[in-house]
Amino acid sequence: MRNLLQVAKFEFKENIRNKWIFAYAISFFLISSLLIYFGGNESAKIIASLLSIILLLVPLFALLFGSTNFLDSLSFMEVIFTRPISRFHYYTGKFLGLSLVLNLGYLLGVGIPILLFTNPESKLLFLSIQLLAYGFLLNLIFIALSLLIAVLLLKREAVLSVSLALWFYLYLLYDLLMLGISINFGEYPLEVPILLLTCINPLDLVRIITILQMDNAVLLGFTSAFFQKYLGNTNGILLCLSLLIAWTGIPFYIGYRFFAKKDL
Amino acid sequence: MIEIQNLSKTYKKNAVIRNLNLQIQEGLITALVGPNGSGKTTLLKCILGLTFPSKESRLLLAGLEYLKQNELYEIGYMPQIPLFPQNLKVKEILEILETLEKKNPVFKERIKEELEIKKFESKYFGELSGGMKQKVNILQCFSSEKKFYIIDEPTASLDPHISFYLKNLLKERKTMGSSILFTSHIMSEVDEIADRVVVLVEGKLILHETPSEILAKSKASNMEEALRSFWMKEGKHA
Repeated sequence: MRNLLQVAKFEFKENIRNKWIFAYAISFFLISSLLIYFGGNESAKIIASLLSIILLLVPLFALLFGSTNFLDSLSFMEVIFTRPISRFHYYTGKFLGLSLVLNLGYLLGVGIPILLFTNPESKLLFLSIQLLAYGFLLNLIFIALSLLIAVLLLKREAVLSVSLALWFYLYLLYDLLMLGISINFGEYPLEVPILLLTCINPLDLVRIITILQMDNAVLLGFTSAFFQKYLGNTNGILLCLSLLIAWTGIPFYIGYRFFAKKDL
Repeated sequence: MIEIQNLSKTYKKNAVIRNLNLQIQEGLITALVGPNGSGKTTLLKCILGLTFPSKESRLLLAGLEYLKQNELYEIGYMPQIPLFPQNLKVKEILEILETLEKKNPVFKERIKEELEIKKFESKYFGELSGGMKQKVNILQCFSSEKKFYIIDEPTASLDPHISFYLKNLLKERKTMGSSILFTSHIMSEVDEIADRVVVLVEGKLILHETPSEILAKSKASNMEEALRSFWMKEGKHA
């Protein structure tokens, strides 16, 4: 356990000084500040815009940052592993350290504008804090995925290509496929398949639970009543959170299993 | 003593090391030589536990299967090129390696003094010159006393001053009873510091002798010529 915390600490220390983390936090700060400051009282519009930015940037940055960081540490790993440290402790420490750094950048970038520019009594503050929490989970999910991709492929070109392809698929292609399914099979009862398909994309899960909290479920289209019925209550939110946690835990575990047997 | 029994390693049906048996004795400096692609790096990585050999392979350090029992702390490793975290200060890198270490870094202050590391220990690793990075590399490997040291191409990228220092350090550790295994393509260096020479060709051990025995067997005038003649016999570098 001590070794795990030591690795997490040194990963944090190293990456907090990375200029890309600084750029990440500043970008979020500027975008969030502008959206909240100029959004006026239209909390639904502000949250929808913030949501789009978070769904676009958080997964992309976490995938690229996590995987390149892992590849960059391969040489130092050789020296680290001549010390009595298990691969589990190293892998978990790395995951924790990277997650802490990315989440700190994200929380400062989005959290400070929320605290500065929102009325403490408005619904916007409540929704923004929820969104902040979902973004936090997205960082964990995509760091776990980035490490899994890096461990599996180990080659920079392949790792970056797969990371970008995964992001493109989850962010854009997946929704187009869902749209295609609903247009082509519109005459069939699609609610349950669409709900299940939503559960296997963490970005869609975050999008849906955020929109359901905004009392603007109509934005979800023809399945809105269905989503509202099943995911719009406390149990639904708990289910979504459990799925998001599973989205972190499963890639993390698979990544570690591969790392434990990987030739470095 | 480190003992390697039936070590084999295959990458995608390509046998890199074939049923290797080798004993590296205590208090000796052993050079591991061979043409490019002969399996030297894979052998080092297997000893370090970074690469997993076939199931029949056994690696023993003082009779103990050290990798299975997590007793790796008795091995010090100095990579050829130290690619350490660029955004950490030298003292922070040394601190993390020290906290993960089980052994007391009894030689740390002495080596720091001798290599003048104190002058730049507050600098970020990314800001250091190549020579400074190598000094940090030497310090992390030799700051505590180990039973076994593995050095990958020790002097390949060192200036004469650091190279001389490192060779003396190797000799010092040898007199303390540690075993040292190093790879090298510089045959004059092998001749100068190695007590035993292990020659690998296509993953097979073809020689494990003293430098003078190798010279006598090959009837060559120097080590480079001698090893070349052995490799040629094995069909390499003809």
